[in-house]
Amino acid sequence: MSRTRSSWLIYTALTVALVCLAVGPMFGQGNDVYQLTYYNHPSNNVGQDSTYHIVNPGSAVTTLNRNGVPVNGQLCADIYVFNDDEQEVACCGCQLTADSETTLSLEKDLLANPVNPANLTHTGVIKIISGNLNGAPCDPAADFNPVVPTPDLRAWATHTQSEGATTPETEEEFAPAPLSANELLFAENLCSDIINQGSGKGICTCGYGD
Amino acid sequence: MSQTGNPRWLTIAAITICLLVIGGAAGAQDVFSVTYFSNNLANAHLNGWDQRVRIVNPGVYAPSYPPAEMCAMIYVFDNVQEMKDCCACEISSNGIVDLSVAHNLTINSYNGSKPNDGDIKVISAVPNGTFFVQPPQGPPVTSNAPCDPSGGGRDKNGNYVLNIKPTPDLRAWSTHLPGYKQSDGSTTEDEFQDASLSAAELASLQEQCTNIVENGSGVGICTGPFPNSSTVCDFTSIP
Repeated sequence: MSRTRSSWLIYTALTVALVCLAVGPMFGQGNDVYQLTYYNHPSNNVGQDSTYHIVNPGSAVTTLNRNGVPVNGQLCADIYVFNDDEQEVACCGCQLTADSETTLSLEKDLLANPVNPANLTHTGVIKIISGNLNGAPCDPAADFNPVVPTPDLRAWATHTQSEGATTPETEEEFAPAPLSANELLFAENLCSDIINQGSGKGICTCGYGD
Repeated sequence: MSQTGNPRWLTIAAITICLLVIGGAAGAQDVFSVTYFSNNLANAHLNGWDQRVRIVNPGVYAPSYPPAEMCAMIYVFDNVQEMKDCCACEISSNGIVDLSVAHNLTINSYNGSKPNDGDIKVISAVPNGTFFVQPPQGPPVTSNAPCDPSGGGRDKNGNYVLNIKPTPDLRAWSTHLPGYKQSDGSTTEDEFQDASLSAAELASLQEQCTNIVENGSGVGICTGPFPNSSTVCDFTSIP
């Protein structure tokens, strides 16, 4: 084997190794940023609420103070609420500090201020993108700074079931899904429409917790 | 050039390692799981409203026969990201620990205030030694379980030891009390969710646990239950 070919193979091996080291962690994180659930609000009246709990596990923490307390690792839960006609009826961005937990209500936070009450439906979809701090502190519309999906918030949802005259409550984790660039852009653009043309309508609130 | 030194083999080896790295990164670490709790009102347990955390050692970790004990390192935060309690349980293979959020995990919080909402983190780890923290004054805080959520506390120079070795793969479930700011009277249940455990987060949990224990004079450590044949926890007695 010629020296030139040997050198070429060695360079190839080194290049593969370097690319691998750079890309490997991205494979571990790439699809851990997007999750969704449904909501069921049988009568659109109060009293059939669902609750959502979001936890920042601290996976994004990289720096501690001298006594072990995280000084970064904040994430945004960028929330997009859709009715059953694929229309975005509300959006908001909620900051979660590392190790924190936030509680949200379907009635009091997510559907309390729809962009147009006429568009509310009994069922719909709630999407959460785990993202960076891109505004003050979170801008789900990405009007000035992009949402950079960043792992890895965790979320749970209760669901109100319609079982004849009763409405039992169940609970489930949000379901993770791959996030495409187009889906992210679509959710952002619809949210931008709401924020810029809704006169304050359509902006959900973040419940309680930090 | 010998075959082992052939650049072709070097290339193949690099690609193989690359695939392994990507595969490893893509796969879950399987050592860190989280859940939340809510509506844990100060008198919830007195009214019979409680949330349960159950952790099982499936017996996967078996460096020798029989499968080995594992440690569930438990960290409890309120919803403003302050650690309120930490503790650990040694769980035998196929063993289960059944904990009450109200009675065990939050009743002896560091600042004396039972959190209403928050999150619970569990690290699956191999035994790392007896819980031992020396407060600035008074006797050391120790336990019988060979599981130390503070990761060895501090060494004689005051530096954190950080000796927890996360190892798959304990499994955990939690019941919840749904309701916005107050329980609506129902109970639901879900699995803990896996999350990525960063080196900084692992260090932070051990350091914060050390901090609250060495300054807590016994508070900040979960309480009860009594040990059984499959479980020994490093709890303090119920205050």
